[in-house]
Amino acid sequence: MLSRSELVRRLLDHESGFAITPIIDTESQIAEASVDLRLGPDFIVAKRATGLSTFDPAQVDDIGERIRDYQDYMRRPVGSAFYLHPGQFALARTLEYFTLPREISAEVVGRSSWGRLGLVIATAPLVQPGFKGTVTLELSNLGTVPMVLYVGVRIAQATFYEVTR
Amino acid sequence: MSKSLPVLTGLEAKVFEAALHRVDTLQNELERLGNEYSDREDLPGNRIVLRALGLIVGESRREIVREGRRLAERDRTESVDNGFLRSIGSRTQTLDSLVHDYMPRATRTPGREVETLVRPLTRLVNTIFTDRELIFDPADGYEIILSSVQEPLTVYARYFSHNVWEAIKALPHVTVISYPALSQDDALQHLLLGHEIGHLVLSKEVSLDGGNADKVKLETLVFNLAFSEGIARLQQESPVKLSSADRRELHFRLQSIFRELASDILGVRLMGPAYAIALADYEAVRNRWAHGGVSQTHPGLAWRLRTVISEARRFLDVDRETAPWVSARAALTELEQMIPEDLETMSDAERAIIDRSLALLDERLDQEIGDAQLLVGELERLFDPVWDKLMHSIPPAEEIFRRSRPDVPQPPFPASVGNRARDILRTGLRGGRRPVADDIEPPNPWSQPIDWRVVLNAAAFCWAANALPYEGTNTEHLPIDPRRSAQRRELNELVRGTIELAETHLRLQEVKDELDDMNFVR
Repeated sequence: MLSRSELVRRLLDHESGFAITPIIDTESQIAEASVDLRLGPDFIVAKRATGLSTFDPAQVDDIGERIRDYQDYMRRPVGSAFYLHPGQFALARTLEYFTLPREISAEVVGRSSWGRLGLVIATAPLVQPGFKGTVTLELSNLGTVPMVLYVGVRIAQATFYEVTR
Repeated sequence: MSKSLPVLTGLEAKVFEAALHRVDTLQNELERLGNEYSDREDLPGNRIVLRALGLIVGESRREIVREGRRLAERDRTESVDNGFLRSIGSRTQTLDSLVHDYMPRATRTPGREVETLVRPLTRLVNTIFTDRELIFDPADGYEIILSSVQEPLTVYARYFSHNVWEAIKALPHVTVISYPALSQDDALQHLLLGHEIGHLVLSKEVSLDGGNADKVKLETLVFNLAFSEGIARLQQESPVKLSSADRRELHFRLQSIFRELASDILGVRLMGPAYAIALADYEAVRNRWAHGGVSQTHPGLAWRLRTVISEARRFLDVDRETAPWVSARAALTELEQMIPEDLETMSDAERAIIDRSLALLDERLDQEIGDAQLLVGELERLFDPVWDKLMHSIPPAEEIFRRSRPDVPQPPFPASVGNRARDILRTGLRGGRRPVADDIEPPNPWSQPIDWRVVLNAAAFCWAANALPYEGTNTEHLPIDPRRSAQRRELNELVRGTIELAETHLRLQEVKDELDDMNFVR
């Protein structure tokens, strides 16, 4: 696992091929062995299923269409609120863009402060070496009261690992 | 119908109900759009038009109800009141025209592809003007046009009431920039919006002595001065005296051409040297390359390209010999070699008038657009690192202080960063070893967002110089690599994402403390 100083060293080296952008405050965002990630502005919200019975991977022909029928896209400006109701599921993305070189992988998990309230951040946390892009977050409120999430708030954390070859 | 509304019968009731229904439908539609746009940060101009329309429609409704009440209270033995019918008719007719002319301004919204550019472009305009909002209007045709909303709307408002007129006049000014909807996702083409902002700058009200008295448009001020000097010379040299009609026509024609060339120059100053690349691309699509593009109102393409290339060289002729700079200069030279034949039939004396007016404009530009210009030094400092990141598909959204790259001029570090870097080196060297990871503490501040125009410029030159690395199979047997189109799409996606990240960085700097306080459990 990469330590804070190793993360900083690689981020400062333009030839490392390692980038997390934007980072606006290293003091609070880069911890001893992780980087805090902020909630991005885009959301795909799962609609309440009324006429839709199942997602059946066996019916591969129309599953993409069915998934789109079942989702709504929305965008919220930085600092604005997004309400996640109990039992609701939404896809979001990190605000930070990652570029991982071939020798580094990452794992994205929720921050404990939000986890204690019942927020699940990611169900598929592994980010493969060589990945470029923002990381998708699978948000779900397992608590019993609605949760207000603000775009830009530090919601998840990533740890980074050297991949041996 | 509500109890507070007047009770009418017969034809009058029908006219009254129909008019009211029309106004209510319009009011509901405006309300619906208002709700729909409530979280669209990229539609401030559209929201202002909605507000203005709402004021006018609200006043129309009040007037229609007032007319109805007047009619309900009159002597019932009288026949149908033609004055009433005319009054209601004229109200709804005016509303019809208003809806026809201005609802598209409120309803025709840009795709979310343009969203990332709305904030920085609006910020750029507001560096020059105060209280100005933009509407980005995806138009059907392949053209970019500038138009104003405020003035004609206030003219409409005059038909209603003084209060409405005053309320609309007090709203921020709204300017519409129409651009080809087909190239909505082509951020590199949006460099050309600098030309339209240039037109806006030329329409700025200024005075010779800097005071408030006798204000005229900037373009009128400089052009008239050059024209009056030049026309005297022209008359001396010419055996034929110009009639006043000829003189007016010449004034109109030369001023139109001056306006376009000046807007091109302003486009380069505001957006950077890649404006020249964008202009060449745009005109190629419009087939101007083949017939020269000469018209009564626009200078020929050759003249325009020569002007913008010369202006662009101001940015590129700096003492930098790295690969990105060499490639960018080569791309500009290549473009210069492709300039079509100059088909302009203008005399030397006429050209001299335009040259003089451009020179007069140049003298005033620092004063008129000051901080809005892209600084040559800013491009010089950031061009290499931005280019470098684009080559590696890393979005160059932030300038990271103390990021190591030996061949790039160092950013202006805050003193604390410089001292810390020196300490690290000293500690390491004193111990007879290179600084290792444990010595490295992140610089504070860590980074700052990169100017969106530098990103656009580096991307456009990367594209023009064909510098981006290709992936996949080789198709050298084709005259133009078919992967270029896909590559442009990908580059545009990276550029839009980069500008979005840089804008988010900027916004986060403002609200960071507020957001970080929400991390209630440490």
